[in-house]
Amino acid sequence: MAFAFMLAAAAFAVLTVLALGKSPAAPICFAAGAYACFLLGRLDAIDPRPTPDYIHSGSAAFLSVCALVVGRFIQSPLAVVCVIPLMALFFEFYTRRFLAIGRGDMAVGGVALNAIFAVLVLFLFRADPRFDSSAISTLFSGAAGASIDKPVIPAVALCVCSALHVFARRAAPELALLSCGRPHYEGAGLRYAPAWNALLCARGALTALTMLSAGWMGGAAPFGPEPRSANITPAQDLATLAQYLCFAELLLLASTLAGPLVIAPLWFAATGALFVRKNLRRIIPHA
Amino acid sequence: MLELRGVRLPMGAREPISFTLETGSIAALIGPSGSGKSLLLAAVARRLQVPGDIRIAGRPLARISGREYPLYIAHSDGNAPGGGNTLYDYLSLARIHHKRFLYPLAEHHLQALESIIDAFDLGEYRLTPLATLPSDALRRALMAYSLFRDPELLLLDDPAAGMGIRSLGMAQRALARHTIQGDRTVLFASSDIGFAAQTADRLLIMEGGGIAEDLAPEALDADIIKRYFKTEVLVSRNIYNGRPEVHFFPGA
Repeated sequence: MAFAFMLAAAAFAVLTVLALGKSPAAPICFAAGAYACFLLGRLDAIDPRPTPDYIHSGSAAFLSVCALVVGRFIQSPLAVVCVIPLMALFFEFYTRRFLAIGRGDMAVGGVALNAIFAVLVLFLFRADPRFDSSAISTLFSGAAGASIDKPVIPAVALCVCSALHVFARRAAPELALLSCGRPHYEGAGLRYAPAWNALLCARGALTALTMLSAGWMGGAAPFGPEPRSANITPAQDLATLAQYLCFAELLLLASTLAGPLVIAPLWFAATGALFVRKNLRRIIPHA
Repeated sequence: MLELRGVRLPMGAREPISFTLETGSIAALIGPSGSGKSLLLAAVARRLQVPGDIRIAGRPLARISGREYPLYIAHSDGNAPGGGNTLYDYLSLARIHHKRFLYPLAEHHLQALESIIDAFDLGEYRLTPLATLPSDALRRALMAYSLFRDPELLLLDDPAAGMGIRSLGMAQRALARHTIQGDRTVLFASSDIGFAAQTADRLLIMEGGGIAEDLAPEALDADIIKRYFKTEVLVSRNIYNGRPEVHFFPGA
């Protein structure tokens, strides 16, 4: 199964590059974004308070607003690239540590942030004749949509993701214990606060990498299965990652054909519907 | 051995709590709701800072480092853990302090894990997420986790709550097995006087944040229960071990 998904992903990538004339860096960028999103899903699985993915939690909208504001005043792509990781960290610490909000509240906050982003974009389109619509396309499809030739971002993203993936696999029991909550973690003689801060930093870094590499469309999380286990086999891991990559390359192909401004809102609606459907299933836990 | 000297719970008891629990014993804290049983367990587990001297195996509680803590103490407050771990994964986390960071758990720990799963008859739930376990199996899983930690002092808050009769038997046998070598101690709080009297070697009756009575289970009678629990009961004796069994008067 994993092999079939990998083949499909490769086929979509080749089609995007050869038939549609995209830069070869674009599929790599999208793959890196999907990899980061896959790891974000893994961290969600061990999060004591699992919350919506980075699109429906409002994280993508918040980072997009920040990028638009910084781009407007500083007008330097480098400044935007620097601001996104910082703001991603701020978002993670503010919502998960300072406010410590749960799944429902974060979903509601996400709707509000997405609405703010939509209103801001509409306002810029209507009120500012100098506004360049390609900025929105870039936000939706990340570096993959920006026609970059030097694949620095995907290279960095792939390296960071690979390192984090290896670490997460080796430290799976410690991470699973973190998901049990503070008393369990500290009861095992481990320090909860540093581990929790490291988890938030990793989440911030992965969100930033997803946004920078694949924009809003890196988020294949709602499609991915969520194996919540300290003992996920390498085969299960590979199969899930292959699915993410396949969806990501398919999205890149679709957005190259129809344009990110068409595909991203459709993608948002589809993932939103899946998110609502998934969360309407009633599971009554003990705690 | 657990020693408490001059421990005061934040409940304004006149007398501070002082008692010694010999290694190898099982002691039960009983008392009406709000008498301080859970607070005392939390204080011994270092989850609540209280004035007084608490020592485990002769070492002051405050001197036990975070790394040593799981070797000395396991505390189950009876609440289900968060996260979406399966039962097997959850139980395998109990001995995480025995493994090196980034290394897997040693084979003999995994074999011991199988034994504890069998002892609590949890095999059929091995791959079931904790959140979807039946409440009886969840209670067994929580106790199995604490026992699998294999600490010097095991602290359990109301382990019998929500357990069916078969699980109560398993719990009782497991606690007896845990202390049979004489090198492990158990202190548990229980709202089930019958379970406490049948399981523990010693009963500590709590009232208003202090220890009101310290007695052997055989000494428990209807008058003592009426005095502290304000309830009329009939106490009979178990024909096998002579320990008290508590019955309610029908319609009373």
